[in-house]
Amino acid sequence: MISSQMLKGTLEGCILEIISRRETYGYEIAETLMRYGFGKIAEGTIYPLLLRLERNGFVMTDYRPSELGPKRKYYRLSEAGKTALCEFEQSYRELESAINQLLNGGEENE
Amino acid sequence: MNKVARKLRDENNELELGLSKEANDVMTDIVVYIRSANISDLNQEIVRRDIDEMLLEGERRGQSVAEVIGDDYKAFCDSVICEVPQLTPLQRFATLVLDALLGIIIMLAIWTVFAPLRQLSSGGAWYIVTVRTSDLIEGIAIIAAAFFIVGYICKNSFKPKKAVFAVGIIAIVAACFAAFVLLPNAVLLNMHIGISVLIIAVLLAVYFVIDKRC
Repeated sequence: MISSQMLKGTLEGCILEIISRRETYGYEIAETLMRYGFGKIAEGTIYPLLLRLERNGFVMTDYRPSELGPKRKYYRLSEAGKTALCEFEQSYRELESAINQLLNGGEENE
Repeated sequence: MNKVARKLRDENNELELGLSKEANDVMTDIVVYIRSANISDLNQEIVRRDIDEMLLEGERRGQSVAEVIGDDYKAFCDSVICEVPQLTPLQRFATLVLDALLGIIIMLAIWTVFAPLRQLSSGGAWYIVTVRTSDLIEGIAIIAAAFFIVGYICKNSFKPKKAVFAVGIIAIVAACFAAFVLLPNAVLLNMHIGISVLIIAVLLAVYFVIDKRC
């Protein structure tokens, strides 16, 4: 199980990636994360992160009718969100490389 | 509360009729807690709608409230509130002014309504509203106690209700006691009841103007 501390730093970026693939909503994002091995994440955990992404202008929202009752809030990526996603991917790759190097007993960078 | 927020509030009230009793009870605590947050009425209702939608859909999938938003409702609310734009100091001040104004209007209305009775019982003219020092002190104490009680109830909406109720009763008793301790009964002013009604009408108009802009 991935620790919550490790998840904290990466969950936003992962959510951006999911939204970049298609317009989606909170529960579907939580289900997608679970399918990719992130474990069971409650929609209530995702919601504040989505609010933050919206406040920062990384996602845009609109309400659409749903088959389950009330109108559902859908999220899509904005241009700023695409930039943020690229930055996240770059940072993550750098981190991944550094950690792999460390754990595999590699040489220190000069 | 502006028109958009009011409309959304009415829609949210309708939405919540579809919730189970368990979810409705939790939602009531959440709404009360959010009312104490430093966010606008509109943002409160937007957040409320989003949470209503999550809970309604969750129930249709067979999920409990805890499965949708987690076990710790207060922590959930805190994490949501900190991601919503906060009121500026000016907006916060306007909200306080509105709340205090409403309290003053209510106190004035009570004095005005009961003035004829007080006057007739003391042999005075029924159309004169007399404001004494004790009236002023009681009014200030009651408004202050109301602020405190509402603030305390909102901040502690997830705590057991008996504790909150007890604090509320203590606050009211303390406020009344404080008001009656200072017994000076000097007359501050006498005014015609028509002027009192006029003042109330003007203050009400000011209240609605500020409320519409907030």
